[in-house]
Amino acid sequence: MNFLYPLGLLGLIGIPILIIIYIIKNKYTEQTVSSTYIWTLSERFLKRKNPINKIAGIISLILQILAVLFLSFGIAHPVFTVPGMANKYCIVLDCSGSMRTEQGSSTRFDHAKDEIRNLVNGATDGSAFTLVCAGDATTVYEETTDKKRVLSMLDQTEAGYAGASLDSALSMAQEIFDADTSTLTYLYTDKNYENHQNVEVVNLSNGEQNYALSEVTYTMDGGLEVSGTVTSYESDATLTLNLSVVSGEQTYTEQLTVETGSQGTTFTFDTQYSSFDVLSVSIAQEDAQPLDNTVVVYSAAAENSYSVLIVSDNPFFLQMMFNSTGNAVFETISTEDYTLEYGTDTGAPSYPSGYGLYVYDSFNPQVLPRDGSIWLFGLDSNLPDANFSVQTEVELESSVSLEFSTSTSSTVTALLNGVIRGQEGAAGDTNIHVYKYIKCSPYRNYTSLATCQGSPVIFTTQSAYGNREVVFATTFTDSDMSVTPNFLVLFLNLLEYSFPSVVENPLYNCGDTATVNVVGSVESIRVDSPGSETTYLDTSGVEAKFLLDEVGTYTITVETAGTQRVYRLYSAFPQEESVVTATEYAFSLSGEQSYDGYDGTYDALIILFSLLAVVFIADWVVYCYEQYQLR
Amino acid sequence: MAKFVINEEFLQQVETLQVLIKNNIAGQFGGNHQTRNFGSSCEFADHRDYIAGDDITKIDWNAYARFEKLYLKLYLDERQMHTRIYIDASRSMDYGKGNKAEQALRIAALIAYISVCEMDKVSIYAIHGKSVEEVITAVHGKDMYLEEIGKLNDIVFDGESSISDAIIPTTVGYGDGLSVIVSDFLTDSNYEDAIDYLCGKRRDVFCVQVLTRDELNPKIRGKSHLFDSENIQKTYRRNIDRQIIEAYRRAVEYVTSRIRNYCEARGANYILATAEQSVGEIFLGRMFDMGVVK
Repeated sequence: MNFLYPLGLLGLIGIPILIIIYIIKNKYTEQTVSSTYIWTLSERFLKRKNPINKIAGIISLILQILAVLFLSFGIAHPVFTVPGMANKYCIVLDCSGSMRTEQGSSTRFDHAKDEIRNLVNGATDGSAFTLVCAGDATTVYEETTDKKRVLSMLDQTEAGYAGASLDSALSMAQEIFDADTSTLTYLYTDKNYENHQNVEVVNLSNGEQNYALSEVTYTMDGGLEVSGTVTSYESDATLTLNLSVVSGEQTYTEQLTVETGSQGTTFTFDTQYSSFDVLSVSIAQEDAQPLDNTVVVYSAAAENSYSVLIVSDNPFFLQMMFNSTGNAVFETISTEDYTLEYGTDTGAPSYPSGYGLYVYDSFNPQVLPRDGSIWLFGLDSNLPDANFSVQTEVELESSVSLEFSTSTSSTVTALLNGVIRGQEGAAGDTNIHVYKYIKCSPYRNYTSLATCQGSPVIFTTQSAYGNREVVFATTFTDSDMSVTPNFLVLFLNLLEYSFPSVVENPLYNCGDTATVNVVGSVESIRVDSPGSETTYLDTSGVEAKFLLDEVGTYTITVETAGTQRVYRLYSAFPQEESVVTATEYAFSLSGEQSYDGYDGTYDALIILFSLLAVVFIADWVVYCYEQYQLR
Repeated sequence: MAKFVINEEFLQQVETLQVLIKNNIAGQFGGNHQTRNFGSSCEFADHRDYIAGDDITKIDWNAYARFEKLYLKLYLDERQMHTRIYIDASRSMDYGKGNKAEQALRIAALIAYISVCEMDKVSIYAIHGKSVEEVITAVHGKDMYLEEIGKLNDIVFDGESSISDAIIPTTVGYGDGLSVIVSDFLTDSNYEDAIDYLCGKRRDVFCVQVLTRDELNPKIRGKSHLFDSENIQKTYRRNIDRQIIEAYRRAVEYVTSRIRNYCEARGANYILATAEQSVGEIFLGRMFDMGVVK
């Protein structure tokens, strides 16, 4: 027996003190009465005394000594050694999404935690526990003999929404087993394992009924067509599917009845809707796993629409080009009006804001906007914040074909993707020809796409405010850009460059990694999960990625120069987690299990304090009895 | 020393009471009591056959005319009683919270007053040790009573007392009234002999046992060393718990029932009075119930 706090035994000094007090206090009270005759006579009527009554006078003292004894031992906290009774436990907990399947008022995961609590509480004190949580990532909690700590760690664990990396958990368990083959390994999961050598598998699955949607897709050919697969695990069922389509401020609903079984049935909603902002498909019937009963699809086009400000006196061609893209909302302003609104007449030059793209056609703004991308056509003088200088205007005797860059950099390759590099003067010449161009000198970090006589005529750079900038050192009137197929290709590529789709894929499965394109001059990208957890993405790269570890709609807020743009994507429940009774092949540990026990401990604190409580109650009862006698 | 505290108002209340004497008396003085002996009063009692030598003036001639036989009229005789009151003047009577001595004096004074009102003679004695000390002797008439009764204040309650040893050697009279013993009877000494002796003298015996409430239901608990007020050598040392208290109560019951039964067996009267009771309660309540007074 050991004491955790031996100084607590100093409390035993209280016992002799108690005895001394008792001796000092224990005196007969002397008093004179009129006659002792009846008192003496009463001895004849005294019943034979119970032997216990002989010690009645010191019962209180005995109880108080016991109280001091138990209290001192309790403070000293004795721990008894129990040889060979303790074990090492490795507890692997499946934290996959399927463990969220409901079983009555709780879930499989809750039941697993209850089972583990019972295991931990029932284990001999001194046993060591290692908790391995297999979720979308495997977490190994350090080995501890402190049961409270294990239970605390267990309380902190939560089931994920994605699949579990049980292979990783297996390798962790194998490492622990290799280090000590007497380790008892338990796996708490909802999957059947045909082979589980050296592992005690606790299957929490009860074959609950589950309906699931999967592989939901849509096409817009001749109207919106939504298709997918609906599955009824465990038993065949006739399910009602609801389709909800939101387009602008209109909401349309449709319903479909599908008979399905464990193999799944394909369904199709064939509608006449020409566009949508968001659609959702859901199963009307309730089941044990509601997470896979709804799939929401956000329209990529609707999510990535953009606005353009065209500053031009002849905007027809540019309007036509932007109109053809389908997801651009543009405004046009003449150079005169622009000068009136943002020129110097009203004081310091100002700039517009709130647009995704500013197009200046043969017009020099005094200062560039701080937000959005900028396209500059035919700039003829220097701008302080344009990151390049304008030198001279070069007028050619005859039109000259622009030479597209042959760089193999990813940016050039992406921007010139689809551009046909035809031979000048040959039949079907698709090159862009210029009659006049402006000689520009970009300062730094520019990408030249096309040159004329060695001078960059079409190039990309960044403004002083970090916004993407596309410079055309010529005009539509000084070139044949407007009529060449290459310009159309280049236009679309530059639009993609200027407006990279923030969310290219609005539908993922939970556990996937979502990609967000980092647009120019972005200040922050905030991601709000369905569970209202907020994270900020790293915007230093071209793309930002984040793990989808919840089921539901993620909201991505992109902040650029004081303006915010919100995008949404849906994280669906993984199809493999919808399977109610999955069967896996093996979760086995190689090696020979040994059964060497370790010295456990027995903590007698509860017993001591229970005894202390009993003694206190007994002392109180004795006191009350004495007081009762005094009445 | 006990204080004699009986006011005039209370005396007037009990004045109307009459002591009921159940036995024949043989007093030589015509008091206000009627005896079962036939005497010379004017109250008719019965007839009997005439015997030669009887007083012919008491022949009932009307009965002779009806039955032609001589009958003699008998009349009840009236004698004066002598009430003797013995007060236990031991120390135990005058110790503790409830003062038994005061109560004993009140009871004695009242019985004496009632007797005086009945035209009886009253003597009051204090028992000290084995002797009887006369305090008031042959008082009759209220005036004399009021003059003499104050002597009760002079009784000193001290030492032990032996009732039988004190009473038996004295003159107690014969068939001429009531003998009252006022004591706590908390003694091993033989008081039964005194009762037998008085009954043998054809006296009406009336025992008044005076105890305090503390004696009937003691409050003492815990480890106690008790000393007897009369004799310091007599002690009692115990951890007084519930069992002892129960035994004590049985002992009290034994003591009171022993004297009660003894008195009843000999035609004597007995009452138990507590020191805390008012004399009115004792006399107007309990003595009425018992028929000691009417």
